Amino acid sequence: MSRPSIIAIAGSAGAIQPLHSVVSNLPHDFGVSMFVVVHRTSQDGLLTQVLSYKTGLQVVTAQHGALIAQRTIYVAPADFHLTVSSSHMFLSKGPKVNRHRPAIDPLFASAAFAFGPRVIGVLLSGYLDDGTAGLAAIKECGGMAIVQDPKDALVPNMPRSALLNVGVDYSLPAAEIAPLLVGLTGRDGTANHRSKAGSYGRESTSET
Amino acid sequence: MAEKAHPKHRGKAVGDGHSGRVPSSFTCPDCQGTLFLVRETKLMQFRCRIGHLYAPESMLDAQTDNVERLMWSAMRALEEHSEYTGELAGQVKRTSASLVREYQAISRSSRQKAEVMRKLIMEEPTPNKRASLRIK
Repeated sequence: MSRPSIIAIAGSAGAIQPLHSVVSNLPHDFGVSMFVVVHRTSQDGLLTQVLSYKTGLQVVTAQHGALIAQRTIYVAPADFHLTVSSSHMFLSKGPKVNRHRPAIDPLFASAAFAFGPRVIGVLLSGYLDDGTAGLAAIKECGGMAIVQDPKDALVPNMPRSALLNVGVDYSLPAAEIAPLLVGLTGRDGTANHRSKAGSYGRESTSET
Repeated sequence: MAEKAHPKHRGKAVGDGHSGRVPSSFTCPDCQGTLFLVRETKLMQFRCRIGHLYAPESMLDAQTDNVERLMWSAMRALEEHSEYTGELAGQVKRTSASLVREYQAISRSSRQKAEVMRKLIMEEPTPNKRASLRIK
């Protein structure tokens, strides 16, 4: 049996709503591990709680050194970078990246290195360009890059930056992201998303 | 973190002096350390010695904030200078009329510079302001 994919999904300003949309539209037996980074300044732990209302999947705040489980959504706590190895997750008080901690690029880049073609990176609404270099790393390691359609994003800058700089595979409204993820990975998360690419959602046309 | 994780930098910690890193002519907006050019992906990034990492727009944003912070610092220094020389002028009132005039001139000049500085800061069209106009 092939090993399951992981999904790294991240955003900044305006990302909570599309994140809810994605999480609430995933099947309750979705067999994929999902990692979430949202920029924020406060120490609140509400994001995990709020997301858990939206899905039957397990939603937990990521713990340093914890094993990665399937059918679980891991949320980066405030003020820690979240990175992954092929089996575990790590939290760190490392220097801010793109002015943020947690930042998106460390999660995306570590996932790219650890999981190669089995990573799907999803970049949602936000200012500036955190996530762009991370999506580039995911693409260079054979993974897949998805962005929220800038026209659908409250703050289009982050998806737009990725579209300008990275060969993004799909650019689509938030509501279409969950069905695409299920289509790409299969319910148990083991489908080869390469073979299914193109049959769900629509291909990015902004790629140049 | 990110640099350890990236395939091209496996096992290399930040600031381990590995050859090939290219110093830029810029300093880190967060810690004032030298920034090095990072070309791990096609996207240009800057990283300082301790590991602050910037993609291009984030670098611009950080630099813009840094410029504003330093301009406010300059304004504060000028206001303090004006206030202090004003107090000195008061202290020497009974001993030296010429010194009073000298201190008052410095105080006036510094206050004017501070006012100009405040105007400069508040009229600055920042990238942030332009970007925020794009919210639909």
